[in-house]
Amino acid sequence: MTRSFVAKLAPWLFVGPAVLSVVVFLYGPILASAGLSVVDWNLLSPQVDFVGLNNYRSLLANTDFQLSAWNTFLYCVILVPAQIVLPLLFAVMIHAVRGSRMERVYRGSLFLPTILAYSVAGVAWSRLLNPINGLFNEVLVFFGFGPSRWHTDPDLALLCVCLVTFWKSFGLNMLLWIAALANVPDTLREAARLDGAGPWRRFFSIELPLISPTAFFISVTTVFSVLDDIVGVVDVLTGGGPAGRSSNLLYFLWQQGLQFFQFGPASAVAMVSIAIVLAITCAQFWFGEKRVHYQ
Amino acid sequence: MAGIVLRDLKKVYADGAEAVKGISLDIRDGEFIVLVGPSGCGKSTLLRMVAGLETVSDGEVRIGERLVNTVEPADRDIAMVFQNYALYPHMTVYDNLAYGLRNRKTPKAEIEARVGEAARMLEITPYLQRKPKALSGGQRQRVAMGRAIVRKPSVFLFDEPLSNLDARLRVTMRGEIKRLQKRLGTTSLYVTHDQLEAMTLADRLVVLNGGRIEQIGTPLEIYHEPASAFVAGFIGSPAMNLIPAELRGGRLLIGDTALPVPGFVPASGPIVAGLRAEDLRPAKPGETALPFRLDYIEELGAQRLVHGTVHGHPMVVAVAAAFVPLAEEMRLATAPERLHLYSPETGARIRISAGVETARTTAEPVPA
Repeated sequence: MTRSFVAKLAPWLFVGPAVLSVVVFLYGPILASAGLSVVDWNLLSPQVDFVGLNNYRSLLANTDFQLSAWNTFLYCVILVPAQIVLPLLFAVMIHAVRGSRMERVYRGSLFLPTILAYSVAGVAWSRLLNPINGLFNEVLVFFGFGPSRWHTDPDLALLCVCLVTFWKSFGLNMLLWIAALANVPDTLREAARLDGAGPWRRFFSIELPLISPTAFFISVTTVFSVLDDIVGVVDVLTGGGPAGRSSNLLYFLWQQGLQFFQFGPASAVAMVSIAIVLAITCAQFWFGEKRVHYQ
Repeated sequence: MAGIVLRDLKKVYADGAEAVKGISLDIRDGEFIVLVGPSGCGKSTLLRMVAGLETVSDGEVRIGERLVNTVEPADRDIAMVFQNYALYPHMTVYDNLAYGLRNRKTPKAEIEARVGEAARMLEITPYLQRKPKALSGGQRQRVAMGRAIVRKPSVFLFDEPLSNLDARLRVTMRGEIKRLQKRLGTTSLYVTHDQLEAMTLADRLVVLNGGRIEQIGTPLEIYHEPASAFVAGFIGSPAMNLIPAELRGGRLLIGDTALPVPGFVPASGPIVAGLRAEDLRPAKPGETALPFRLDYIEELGAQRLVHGTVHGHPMVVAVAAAFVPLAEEMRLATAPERLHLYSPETGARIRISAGVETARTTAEPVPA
């Protein structure tokens, strides 16, 4: 081997493992799903029938799918803003006490749930929310209210999943916000104070524009995680029920594929989900990125 | 316009550290005061207390007639120029200048007029639509100045505004700050650790050390009559030579050289003798002189700084560039009235009575 050949090969050897894993575990499955979504096959039988867009057509007519799609929309509408704004609120408050001994205590205790597994969070909360002997109902009854059915109530199940998912995962965004706020030089805040800007005005006209790269990053990744991460909580807490009222697209997909072994329809759901995420992300880049101030 | 009065001002941090230990200072309306001292002397803390960015632990800050200890920075009628300029990076130069006026609900037409005027004064009009990132250090410095002057405050506060600039630009901007301040006549409090900057800008200098004022005076008063060994060693470039000596029988003994002291000194025993580099000269034959051993020479162009030792103590002598015969061993003489004496314990200046001091006040300004 000549020296120049090795020099040309070396970069490929370095990126090779990463590229390989992305291809095998990401692009490969996406392509495979695209293929599976147009056939009728249970992964086992030698019989593979090409059915064209039939899987998609029957999906659109499926009321469970429609409900899951609607729920997915609700989850996004509730959780995405909550996962962005509330962690920012916590971060601003923690930033305000930075340097004090309590800063670490607040930050640590608020971040703690994030390191738990979704299933652990689900189990812990199902105890708290238990309609028969859960802590929440004990408190309600203590204060003279009637008990609630919480996650077993069709009208509350989705909100319970939102609550647990939020509790479990807001910590990461909070840390990102804290880091972003810490990166804004204090002299800019002081200059703005001298310039007659009160706390609100300082926040909206100085701090927020300067942390906008983080805001953009958080808004993109939060959409992914809301669509994705919820599945663990749904599975442990409600199993998608009652009557599919807390299911979402990914949980529906999982049921179709790994419970009912309907790989054609499941893959069609996957393709629809990918299309939705892609559309939202493109919209975010299109509308959001021009408002981002990169230093 | 307004003066500033500080009364017994103290700053104690939560950990007990005392940054400012009781400072009293009267700044007249329109005066340019420079706070100078080594790092950690409390000069920035003092400035920030006047700005309202640091709380006052004890004492009073008055701007004009008003006690402002608990007044918000924005309501103190001051403007501040920061060391790192603190320009808002996401705003254009125009918006940076206009921000403070907008926050104060100034009418749009007036904002335009004031920003335009400040930009013309500082020659930054072509850059008004640029972001700070697209400006050079000097231009950013001007924008920072502009942000201070558009507000037409009663007081300017400067926190080492030139220390991020290169040496040449620093000299230019120094001149511009001085000119601008003269033109606007705004009371200014300026913090620096650079004694040259301090000397050139100040109407009056305040030398700080360890949270206390060492001396207040005009640059020439401080240069010619440093009130303490600390000030003597800090102000002037090169710093004053300070050398251990002894007073005995009205004479000053440095090693075995006895120099006459012109007048009465109310002390005897060990003392610190101070000699400015430019007050030393090669001795004429027969003159009382200090033995000087040459170490190395710094060429400054107009002057040469000759470094060496006298009786083992470091000493710098400034001689004219034209002065050629420099030998390894030289003898140095000084005019007795050029001697400064300091207490070895307290560092305080020991006055030599009998008219010597008055002679000093008419001395030529000495190039720093």
